Amino acid sequence: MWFQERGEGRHITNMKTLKIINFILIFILVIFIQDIWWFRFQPDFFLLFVVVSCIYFKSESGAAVSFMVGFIQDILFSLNFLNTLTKTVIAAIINLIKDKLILNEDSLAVVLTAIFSPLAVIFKAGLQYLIYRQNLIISVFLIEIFWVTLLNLVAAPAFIYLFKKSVLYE
Amino acid sequence: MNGSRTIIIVFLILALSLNLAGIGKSSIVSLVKSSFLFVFSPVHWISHSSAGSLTQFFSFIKSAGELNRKNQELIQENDKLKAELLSCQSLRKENENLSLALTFAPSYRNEKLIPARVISRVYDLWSSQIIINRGKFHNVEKGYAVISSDGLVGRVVEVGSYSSKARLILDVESAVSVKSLKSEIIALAVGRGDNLLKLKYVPSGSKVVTGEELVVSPSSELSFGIPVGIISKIKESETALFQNIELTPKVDFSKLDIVYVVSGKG
Repeated sequence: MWFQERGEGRHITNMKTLKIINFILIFILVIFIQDIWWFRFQPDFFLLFVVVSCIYFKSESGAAVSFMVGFIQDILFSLNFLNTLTKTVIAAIINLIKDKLILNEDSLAVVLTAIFSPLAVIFKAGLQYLIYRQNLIISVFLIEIFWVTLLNLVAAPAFIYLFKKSVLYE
Repeated sequence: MNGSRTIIIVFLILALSLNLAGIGKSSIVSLVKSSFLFVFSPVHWISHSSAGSLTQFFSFIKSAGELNRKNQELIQENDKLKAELLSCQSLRKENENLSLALTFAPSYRNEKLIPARVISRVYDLWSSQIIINRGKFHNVEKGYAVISSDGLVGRVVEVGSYSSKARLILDVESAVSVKSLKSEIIALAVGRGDNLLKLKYVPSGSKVVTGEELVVSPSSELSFGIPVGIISKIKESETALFQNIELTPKVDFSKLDIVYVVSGKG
């Protein structure tokens, strides 16, 4: 019997390793897409990553993933650390409210994407003003909110599907 | 539950500290950033190269029908240019002779151009930047101007060993002192976060016109005379102290591939 249990234990470890590898691969894919994106406006895949991680993972893991996602986004695509703070705050809020919303996980992910896409832009603009004293032109700011929210909502179902299939094996 | 809250609060404090440390240009933050830049520069390079190949492939398919016609046009143009080149060579020689006669050293600015390839680009509301494949190893330093054949692109803000980040003039944090060669006004060209620049501190009543070209001013840290943009819109209000002017950059940032880092600060 002992060898059977040992075999199962190894299988679980292998599955965990595979899930972590898939998780990293999806993150690299997100970086890749962000890097090759041709158009002026783009979906915030990093935000989708944060929302989905906070919903499907435990609170601590969701917060840690969100911090790392924001940090790497800042290192690669930004000149300050606004994304790190924004993503961590969003993770904290999601962890606070996710149990209070009576929705299945997939619908919750889409709803939270719809809520946090414009909020993330507004929050970043606020931080930019408060910390870096940078004003934004209102028209440019509103257009950004519109496009980011729209593109995030378009990309969300496909992203959630990919995440569930490759990381959660559902 | 308490444990997870503590962890979340720790991450929040950490994120806030990073921003506050970033304002003071902390050396630890710079070190971390340049290390990450070094580690991820191959990722940028690979994704940019593959994106470039994809774009080229699709544009090739799109333009296959036009290739023959364009080829004929190019052959004709080439012949014409060859003839022009011959006359230019004689003019160049004459110019060199005249410069020598005036004891006007051609390299009076003591600057060197370091050619670089753009390996990644980000243009959004928050930051407009490019990553180039030249760094400390190639004598690139923070603050150096980045130009293209059309004009000013931006300024180097972070330097890694083999790659650097440059903030574009479109970035909301970018500001360049510019001068009009026609009306001789001096103003500040600042980024708006989109594809245009805003010209600040042009007093109402100044005689500026649409289509006027602006170059880097002599008071700037960057080299004087680098083209920056063309005035595309002027909104003058009777009550305002300054004019509201829009500037279209000379450089087409969507097509940036090869740029030059100007070693030296003006």
